Amino acid sequence: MTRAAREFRPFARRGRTAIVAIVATSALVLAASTAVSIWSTGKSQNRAAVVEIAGRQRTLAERYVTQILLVRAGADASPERTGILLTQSVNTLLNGGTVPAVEGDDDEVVLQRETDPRIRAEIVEQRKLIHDLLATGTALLSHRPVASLKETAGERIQTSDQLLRLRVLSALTSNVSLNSAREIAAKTDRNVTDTITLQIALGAAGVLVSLLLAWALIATTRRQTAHFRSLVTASTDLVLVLSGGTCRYASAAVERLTGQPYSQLTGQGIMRVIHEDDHEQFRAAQQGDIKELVFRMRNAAGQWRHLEAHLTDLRTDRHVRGIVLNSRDITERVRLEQELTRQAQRDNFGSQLVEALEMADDEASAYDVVRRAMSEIDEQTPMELLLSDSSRAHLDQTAVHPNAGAPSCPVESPYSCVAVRRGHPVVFETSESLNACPKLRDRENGPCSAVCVPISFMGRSLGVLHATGPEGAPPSKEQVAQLTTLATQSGARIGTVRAFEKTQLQAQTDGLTGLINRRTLETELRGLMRQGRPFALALADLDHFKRLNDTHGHEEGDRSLRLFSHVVRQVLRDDDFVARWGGEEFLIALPDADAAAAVEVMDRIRASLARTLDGGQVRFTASFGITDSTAAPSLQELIQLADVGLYLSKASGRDRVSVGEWTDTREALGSANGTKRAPAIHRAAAEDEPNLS
Amino acid sequence: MRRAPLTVCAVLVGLALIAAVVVSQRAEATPKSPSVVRVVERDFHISVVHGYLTAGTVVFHVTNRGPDEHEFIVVRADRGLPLRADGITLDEDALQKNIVGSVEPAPGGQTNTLRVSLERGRYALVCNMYGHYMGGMHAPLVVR
Repeated sequence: MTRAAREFRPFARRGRTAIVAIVATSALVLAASTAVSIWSTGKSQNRAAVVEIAGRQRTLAERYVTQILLVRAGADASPERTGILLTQSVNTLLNGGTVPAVEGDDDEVVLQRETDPRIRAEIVEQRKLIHDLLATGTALLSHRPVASLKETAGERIQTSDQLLRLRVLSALTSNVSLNSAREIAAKTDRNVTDTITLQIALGAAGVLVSLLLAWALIATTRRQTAHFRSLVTASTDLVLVLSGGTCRYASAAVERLTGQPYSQLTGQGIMRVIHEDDHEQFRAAQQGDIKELVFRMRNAAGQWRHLEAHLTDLRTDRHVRGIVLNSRDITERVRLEQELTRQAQRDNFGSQLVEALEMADDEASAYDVVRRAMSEIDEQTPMELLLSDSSRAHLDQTAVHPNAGAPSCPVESPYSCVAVRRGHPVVFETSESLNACPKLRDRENGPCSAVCVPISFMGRSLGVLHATGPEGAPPSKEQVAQLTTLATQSGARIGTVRAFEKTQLQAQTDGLTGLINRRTLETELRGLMRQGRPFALALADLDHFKRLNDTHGHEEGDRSLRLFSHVVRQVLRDDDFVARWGGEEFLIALPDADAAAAVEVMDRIRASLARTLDGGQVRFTASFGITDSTAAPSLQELIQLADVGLYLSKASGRDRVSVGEWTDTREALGSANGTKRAPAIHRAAAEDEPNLS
Repeated sequence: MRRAPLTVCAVLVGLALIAAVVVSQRAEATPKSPSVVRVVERDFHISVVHGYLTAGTVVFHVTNRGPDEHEFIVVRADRGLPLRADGITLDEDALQKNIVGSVEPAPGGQTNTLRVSLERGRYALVCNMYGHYMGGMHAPLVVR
């Protein structure tokens, strides 16, 4: 059978009930004791009167004999009166009532009926003896013989002396009266003793009950106290009671947290485990000025723990008389909040970085963003961005911290960098440790710490973001995280820009010669025309190119095309344009030049080509047709005019420069209706005589 | 296990032998049992119940039937018993040598025992409380 668990009621009325029971018991015992005392006192008073009357009987019996003798001697006496007193007294002793007063001795006394059987038997015996005494006395006074008197009390007086008989009866009466008086007195004593015993028993019982109730009260109080002590002791909440600027109580949780004994925490000792920066706030809390408080307390391992406290002002509570500070450890929450804050800052940094990089449409702009981001991460930490070139064989320093400068890592190729090889950020506490990167040793500024974050794009390594700090104090985790973000985002952007530029370049240039293509040049020319900027056009064509291809092969033809392109680029100004127009044709645009100037430039190209081919390569020449922006309003017509000029050069024997004009065109082409014929060059080329040298 | 009953029997036989020896020795040490006299006192006479009394130890069982208190005195009474000057009570001082034994006054209902050694002769059993002797509380006793 299991015993049901008792419900714990911390604020049960049991304690109050016990106190009430103690008081009630004490009152009850006191009342009973008082009642017993009153009853006993009353009874004792009655008994004293009874003893007095019983004792008086002895005197009356002797007085009766004396009075008999006096009467017989002729003196004046009243034995009858004494006999009546004796009789009334003994009857009153037996049955209760009023005992008459004896002259000069005492007053009337009211007696209770005797209830004790033994005493009653003695009084009855006394009454019989008084009867015999009075009968004898009466017989003596009336001179009658006494021998014939009946003896009612069991006595057997064997004497012929009548007076002796009277004296013997008096003696017996006296003795019986004395004995009954003694017995009554003894009973009174026993009553008093019983009363005292009863009172002692009552008192003892009251004390015992009170002790039991007090024990129950103490047990209840202890149980409640133990319960609350267990709650407080086992609680992870830290409880402090502050009073008068000192700590009066510190719960077990405080001892466990700080590793300090209770004696070291109370008084001013508590301040030793509270962070110095929080002292002022803590003192304000002791004054009851604040209701909530966050402070730091040093734990047993010497770490600072963040505590959140709620303060309750119980200075007016006489059981506390202080400010109760309930604290709980919120270090983990603070850490998470800080982490979230850092994460938000990182996210903010990352989002700002992404936006900035999105606005960078070339590598230079991206590098500028990287430099500014470096400053954002830390003003004092040297940083550099090392990126590989197009060959991905060499690392170049592309961005440096604008204020702190570069750590100047000597790494030359991406795969010489340990961070690139590992593919994740690497932190070195000191350049002097055995497992430190060898590139960190022997730096100009001596031993250092370092962080190396690899940069990649589409799975291919682009380089490394490198930062250094004082030896033993590398950039913080937060900075490493930001550097990682910077590396990731900048790598993505630079990779994208590089890919875009490469694609754009491929779209704008000719793959064989590296010159811009026809579409690009047309765009440029339309731009010049929109601006109203004058320019000259020259259409060039390699002479007898088909034959060159057929004779020396296409590789030699390609080489000739690249050579011609190179010669043209060398002769032209930087802001001049040259495009491969198609096949062996090239279109050259000279801004701010007219046809005459273009003729001179083309002649210089021809001369330069001739000089270049003096080196023993396969020789070839080129013909040019010239026009300028003043000759026609549209680009198409200008190109046709240049084509006409080229035709004229071809028709005139090649390796020369001709300016195209509409008249010449009509005459040269023999057009009946005067419509423009294009492209004339193709037909002229088809009629080209082989002129190989 | 089989030895247990034998051991118990042996112990019982031994104890029986020892008890028999002790009883026989005590019987030999008590040559004669005391005479017993039953005395009843009441107001105011003494009743004595006894058989044939011989000299030796006599045990009195004195019962007071009351209601008054009574004492009990055994006094040799070969000659008469002297009274005090009051003529009511015996002169115990004069009888000092003759008083064999006594029981102090006892309340009614009480029984006391008095063991005395009596020689041959006449004795009186009295209560000498005030007036009791003359009131009739005396009885003769003869030891042969």
